[in-house]
Amino acid sequence: MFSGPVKGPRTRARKSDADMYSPTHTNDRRDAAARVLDEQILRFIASDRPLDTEFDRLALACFTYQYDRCEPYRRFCDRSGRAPNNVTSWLEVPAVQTASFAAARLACFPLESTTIEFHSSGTTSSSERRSTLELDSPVVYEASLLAHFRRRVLPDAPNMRILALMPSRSDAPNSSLSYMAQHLIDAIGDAGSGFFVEKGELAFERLKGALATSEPALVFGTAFAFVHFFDRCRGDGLAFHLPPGSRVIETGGFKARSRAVPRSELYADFTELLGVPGEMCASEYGMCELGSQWYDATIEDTLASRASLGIPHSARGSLGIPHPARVSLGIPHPVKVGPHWAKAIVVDPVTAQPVKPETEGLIRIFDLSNRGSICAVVTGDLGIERHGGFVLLGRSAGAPPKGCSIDADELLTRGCG
Amino acid sequence: MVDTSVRAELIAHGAAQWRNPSSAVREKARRALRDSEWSPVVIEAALDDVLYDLDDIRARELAVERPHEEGRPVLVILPGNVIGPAIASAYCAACAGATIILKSPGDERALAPIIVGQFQTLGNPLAGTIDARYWKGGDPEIEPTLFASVRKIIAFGSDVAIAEVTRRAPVAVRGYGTSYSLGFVAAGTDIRNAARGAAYDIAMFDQRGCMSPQTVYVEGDEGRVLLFAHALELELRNVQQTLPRARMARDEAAAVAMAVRELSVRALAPRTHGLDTLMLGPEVDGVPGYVVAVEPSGLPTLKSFGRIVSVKPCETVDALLTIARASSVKLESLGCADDIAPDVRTRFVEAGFLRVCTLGEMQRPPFGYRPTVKDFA
Repeated sequence: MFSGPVKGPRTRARKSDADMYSPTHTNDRRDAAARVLDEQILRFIASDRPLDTEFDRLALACFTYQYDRCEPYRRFCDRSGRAPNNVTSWLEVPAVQTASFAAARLACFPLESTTIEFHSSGTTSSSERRSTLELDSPVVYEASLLAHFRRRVLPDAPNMRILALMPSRSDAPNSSLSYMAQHLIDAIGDAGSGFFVEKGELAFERLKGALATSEPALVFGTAFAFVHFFDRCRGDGLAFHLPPGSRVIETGGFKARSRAVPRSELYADFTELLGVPGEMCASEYGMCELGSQWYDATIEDTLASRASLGIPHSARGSLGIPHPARVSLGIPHPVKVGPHWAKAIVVDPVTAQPVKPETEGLIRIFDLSNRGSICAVVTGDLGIERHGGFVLLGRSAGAPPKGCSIDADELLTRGCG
Repeated sequence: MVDTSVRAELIAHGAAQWRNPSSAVREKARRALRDSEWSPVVIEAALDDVLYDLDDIRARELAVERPHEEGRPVLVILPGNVIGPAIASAYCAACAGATIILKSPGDERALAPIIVGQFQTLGNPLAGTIDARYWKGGDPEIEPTLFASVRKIIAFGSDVAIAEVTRRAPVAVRGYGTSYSLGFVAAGTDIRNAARGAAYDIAMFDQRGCMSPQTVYVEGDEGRVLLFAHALELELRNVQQTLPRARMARDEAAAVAMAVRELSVRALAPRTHGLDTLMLGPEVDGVPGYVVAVEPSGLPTLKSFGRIVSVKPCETVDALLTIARASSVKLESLGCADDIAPDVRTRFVEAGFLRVCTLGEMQRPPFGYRPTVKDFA
C-alpha cells in the first residue's frame, strides 16, 4: 500500500476491485456472521440493477444483527418499542442520533476486533470522546466509497491524478476523510497523486508544482483548505489553469468556524484560480459515523449530458456549451445523491418520522455499509428531499458543529509552508 | 461630595422595592415582561431572588466612599437568557458610584428602561446614572462610536460573543461567558430535600443560565443514584406545575428531541426491578417537559436547555474533584445537598468551581457575585 505523501510513477499492474475486496484483506477481524452479511452487501453494492426488495431484506438482516450485538442500540430500540420481530421495513428501523456515536460505543463486535477507528473532528462541550466509528474490516467500507466515487465523480475515466488538500493518513490516522483519500489514491490515483497538507501546514510550493502540470487532476479537499490556499494564491498573484477534464471535490463546509466563505464565492474561485469550470466542481457530504458519501450530481450530470449531445471529451471544461436543464445545476444548493446501498429520507426533527414532500427536516440515513456499527442514523443536518436525493440546507440549531473542515481550519491557521 | 450614606440608603430602598411584589416597580416589570418567553411565576421568582440580600447593612458595606470621578460610563451588554443581570448590574454600578449604559438583548428590551425610571424616581445621586439603549450587536453605525465613549465594557453572553466584543472594543472588556454548574449529593444527605432543591435550580430559566445544574453527581452505590434520579423526576414533575417551562421554539423542541434520542442510547440499562434510567416528563410543546437520565460515571453531560439533567454516580468526593479537574469546560457553581465542611469547599474551589452553595440556592447568588461592584470601580 502506498504510504508516502506523493504517489510516484506506476510500475506495476493495478489490483482489480475484486482483488482489493477479497476476504483475505488485511485488517480483517470479522466473525463468520459478519462475513456472510458483508458478502451479501458487497454483492448488492456491485449490482447493476439493485432491487428495493433486496435493500429491505439486507436492511432487516443488518437490523437484527445490530440489535443482537450492540447493547446500547438494543436498549435504544427497546425504549422505542421496536425489535426485529415487529419491524418490517428499513423505514421502521430505529435511527440513532449521530451524537450517539460520541455518547456510547456503537459497535457490533468486541473492542479487540476493532481494526480501524474514525473520529469526528467536531466536538461538543461535554463529550468524553469524539464521535467514533469502529470497523472490524475495511472491506465493505472501501468497496462503498470507491464504487460511489467512481460513479459520481469519475464516471468518464478509470484513473486520475488526485491532489488531496488534507492531512495524510499518517498525519491524521483517525480521519475518515484522509482514509478515503488514501484509498482513492491507492485504487484510482495516477502518478503524482498525494496529500498536500503536511504536519498542519499547506504544502504550498509542492501543490503549486502539482497544479502546473499538463495532466488533468482531481483536486479533493476541505472547504477551509481551499480557502487557505486561495488566500495564499491571491497574496502571491497566482492562478492556475488545470487541463480540461480536471475537477474539484470540496467537503466539510464552514461549520461554526472563524471564517465562512459563501459557496458561490468558493466555486467562483475554483474557476478563477484553478481553471475548473463550475459544472466540474462538486461537494461531498459525508461524516465519520457513516460509511457512505453523498455527492452533488453536478459532474455526473454534466458528463452524461455532454455524452448525449455528442460533445467530445476534449471539450470538457467549456462554460459556454449547451446544457439541458438539470436539477443540480444553476441553483445555489445542488441535489446530493447517494449510492443505492444507502437511502436518505428527511424526517421531522421532533418525531423523527418522515415529513411531507418539500418540507424541511433532518436527514435520516440507512446505510448498509455501516454493518459493523448502526445502519440507521439521524444526522444533525437539515435538508429537503428532491429528485431521489436531498438538498442540504445546513446544520440544525440543536446540533453541535462537526465536520472535517474544522480539523483543516485548526491545522491550517498555523501557517502555510 | 455626595454623601455616601444617602446613596447607600437609596440603594437599599430601591432594592427593597424589587423585593416587594406589591411595589410599583415590580408591577411595571411584571407588565412589561408579561409577553416574554418566561412564565409569570418564573419572572416573579427571578425578581424575588435578584437583590434578596441587598439590605441596609449590605448597601452601606458596599457603597464606596469615593465614587468614580471620570465622566465616561461603563457599558453593560446584557444577556438574553436570564433577566437578573440587568438589575444586578444597575445596583452594583450604583454601589460603585458609576454611570452606566445598559444594552438590552434583542428579545427583552423592557427591563432596562424600567430600572432607569426607578433610579429617576429614587432621585439624586442615583437619578441620571443609567442610560438604557438597544442596538443590534455589531452595528457599525453605533458600536465604534459608543465603544470609544465608554471607559469599560462588561459583557454577558457566549464566549464567542464576548471574544467578538473584545476584538472590536478599544477599552477593557470584563466578560461573563460560557460556564456550567453541577450538583453534588453527598453520602448521608437527605435525597428528597436534595431533589427538591435541584429541581428548583433546574427549572429556573430552564437551565439556560450558567448557574443551573446540568449534571448531578450522587455519592453512593447505584441504588442510591437511582433513588435520587426518581426523587428528582418527582420533584421536576411537581415544579412543572409551579414553575412551567418557557414556551419552546421549534428549534429548541428539535434539540430536546435530539437529546432524548442521544440519551436513550447513553443512559444506563433499566434495572430488572423496574426502575427506569431515562425518565421523560409529560409533553409540552411536543417534547418532554423535562428529562432525567441516569448515566455512567464520568465527565458531566451539559445540555443547557430544556430541563435535561443527567444523574451520575460518583464514588467519593475525591472522584468528583478528579472529574472537575478533568473537565474541559469552565465551571461555575457547585450545588451541594447540604452544607459541606470548609476544607471540602476549599478543595472544590481549587478544582475549578467559582462558587459552592446548597442545592436550591444555585440560582440565587449573593448580590455582587456576578457582576461585582469592583467591576464598575
